[in-house]
Amino acid sequence: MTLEEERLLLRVTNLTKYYDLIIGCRNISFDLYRGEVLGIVGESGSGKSTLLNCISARMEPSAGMVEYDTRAEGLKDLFQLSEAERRMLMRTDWGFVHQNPCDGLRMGVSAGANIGERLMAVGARVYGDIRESASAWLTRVEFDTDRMDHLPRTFSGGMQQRVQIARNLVTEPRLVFMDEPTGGLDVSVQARLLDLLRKLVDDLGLSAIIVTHDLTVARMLSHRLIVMRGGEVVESGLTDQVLDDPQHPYSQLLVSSILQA
Amino acid sequence: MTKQYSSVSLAVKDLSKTFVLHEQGGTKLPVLNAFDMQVLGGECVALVGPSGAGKSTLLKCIYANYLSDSGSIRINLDDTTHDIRSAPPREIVRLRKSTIGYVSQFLRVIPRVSSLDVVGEPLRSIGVDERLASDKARELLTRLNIPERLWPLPPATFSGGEQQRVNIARGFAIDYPVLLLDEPTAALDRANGEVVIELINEAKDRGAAIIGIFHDEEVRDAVATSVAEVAPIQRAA
Amino acid sequence: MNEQTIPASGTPASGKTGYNFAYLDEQTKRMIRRTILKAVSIPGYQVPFGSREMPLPYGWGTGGIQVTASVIGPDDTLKVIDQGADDTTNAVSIRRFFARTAGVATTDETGEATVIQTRHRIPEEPLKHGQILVYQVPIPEPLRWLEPRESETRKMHALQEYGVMYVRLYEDISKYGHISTAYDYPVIVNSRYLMRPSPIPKFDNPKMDNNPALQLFGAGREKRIYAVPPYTSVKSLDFKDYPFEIQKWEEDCALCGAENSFLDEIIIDDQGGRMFVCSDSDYCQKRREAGYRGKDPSAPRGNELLDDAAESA
Repeated sequence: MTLEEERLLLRVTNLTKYYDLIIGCRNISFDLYRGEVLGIVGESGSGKSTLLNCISARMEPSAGMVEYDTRAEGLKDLFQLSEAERRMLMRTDWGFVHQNPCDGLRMGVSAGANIGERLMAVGARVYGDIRESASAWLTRVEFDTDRMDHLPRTFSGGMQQRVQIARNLVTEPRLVFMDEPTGGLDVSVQARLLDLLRKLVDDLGLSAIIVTHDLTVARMLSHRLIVMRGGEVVESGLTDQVLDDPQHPYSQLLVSSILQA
Repeated sequence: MTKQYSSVSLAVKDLSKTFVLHEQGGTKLPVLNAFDMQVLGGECVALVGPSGAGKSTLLKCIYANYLSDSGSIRINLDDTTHDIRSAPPREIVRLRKSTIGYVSQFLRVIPRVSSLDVVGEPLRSIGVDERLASDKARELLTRLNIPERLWPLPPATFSGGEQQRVNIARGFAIDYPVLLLDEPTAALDRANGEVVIELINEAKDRGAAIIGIFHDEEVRDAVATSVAEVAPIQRAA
Repeated sequence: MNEQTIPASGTPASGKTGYNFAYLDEQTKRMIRRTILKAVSIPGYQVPFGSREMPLPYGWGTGGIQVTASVIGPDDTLKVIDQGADDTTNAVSIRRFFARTAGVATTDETGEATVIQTRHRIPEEPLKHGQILVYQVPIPEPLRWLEPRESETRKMHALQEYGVMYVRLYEDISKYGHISTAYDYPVIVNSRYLMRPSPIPKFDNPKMDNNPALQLFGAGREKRIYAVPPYTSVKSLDFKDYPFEIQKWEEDCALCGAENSFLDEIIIDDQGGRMFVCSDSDYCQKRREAGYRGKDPSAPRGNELLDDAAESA
């Protein structure tokens, strides 16, 4: 094992989020190490999206702590950082892949500009370099670069998702959050996208936290799983262990509910 | 892919495993009860016992695919001891990359990936150069009689036997110090069965600790250095 | 800040109109002056203000008029231009408005004016210390095009997150091979705030940089005022490999022969005839008075031609 792999990247401690009196998620704790991919599964309303929003600093938790290994200063409490630092983190060291590409892309500007934006946001000021980078990333996500000057709204859902992924990866983030990254896509498109994601995560040594209700997605992408229900973690462990030998009644129900294709 | 270790052993002590089926009103299915076994480097222990006795369950517990209830599973690799039952998931992921190999008769199909890449992937994932990984994959696929025209194709489209051989090739791509084999030769023809026997014996010769389930007695006799019995437990309803 | 630049204007207007001096009541002017002071203190930052209903519709310069009304004093001389010309409807109306409500002297000459209200141009003649240039601004927010949420754009300004602005320039280059944005070209003021210079041609952008005059920007509908104090750096955004460039013309002004002034294309007949003339009418006329001539031999000496063109249009 290398030192990098042993490096703690994100630590969540007793995270709780209430919406008024309703519980979003309660008492969640886990660690994420470099290169680890964590899946969060559970049905709609189980609190997985709330959890994702809190740990990605898009929403402030009611209680608990989220610490991240910042490049400059090591482990820092996200909500103690200034907003400027937090936003900087979000557009450089983190990525966020939304289920709906509309939420993660600027639909009114070209694919190339969508990718270039993150570079320009961190000070890239040479057009030629930005374009080259955008083109290289589009190739990497298997997107036809002939269409890099077209608007995302002229693309299919799968293509939009590829652009969104490239946009997130162009700054070489260490941690990528994904919210149902293949939701809403055709099964065949979904399979290819999954395969791409799996390859990218492997090749880049990315750490990722993936929220999904699709256990196939979880099995293919994540090393480790958290099963949520009613805002709480009911089971966690190695992905194939949780799926092949689920312990909690709810996990067993979840696993037994999948149709075997 | 040359051997990276000098000594290995695997010890299972007091291992118990009971399935609790919450879907079936909490039915308890005890499968292993205080099971003990040890395998040293260079040994191949064949698990025997009637169907349903828990042979596969034992392998899966060792691979951490199943959670065991009590006891210990320890791998001593050179000077390090890895305790499977207490290892955090990321350590298991790491151990599976280069320490514990697992070959079953079923290939978990990865869509769209070519057979050559399926076989070479374990090597690449531990940082072996693309070309070397590909060379090794070719060598194994050739040995297992997968026609070269199939190499660029994803195994999803192959026959059962071809898929199984791709899976075996993948399982032997890395010289794992610990190998878990769940009926690797089931449904293989004689010629290919022979190749698998060779591969197992080669692994044994380089000092791997191997546990396997072999229904075919001929295969078992050809590879096993000893036999461990997994006896069925009386079920408490 | 020089007190002369914002003269006290407490003097009521002559009883002729019945309005307070320069139309706005003194409390409103006080409020707007405080806004202006804040704007001057934070160059390029958009300061909200309580924009008043004015006796002309939004889009006709209500922001500029309120700013002018708040800074103008009885001793000031006002010049108003629209697209560089003193004699267009808007310019004439606004000039007359202040002549009547404030009784101030008006002029067409850039050098004579102490306050110049403008729409879409900066005069060609360099401005001087002590002058105030008041811009009419339709949309003050440079990030509006990319980010519709005001809450978000304010945050982006606060955190100086301006990378997204380059996206627009990027799109220009990838579409047209060069930065085609020709007016309202975004600038960074005092190395800090991203600012929309109002729809002036980018030709005028370099004039904003380090200008001795005080530049005030008023957006009436959007209720924002911002400022560039004298001698403040104003840099146009660009890429290293696609540096900022201003418009160039192959022709010189047909009337005065000026080579470095912003030219308007004027259609002179229905046979495809056209000519290029200075958009800054005062500048053009001054040059002609000084004896400069363009290639058009029939070029009149004064503004007659422009008047003719306007009439025939």
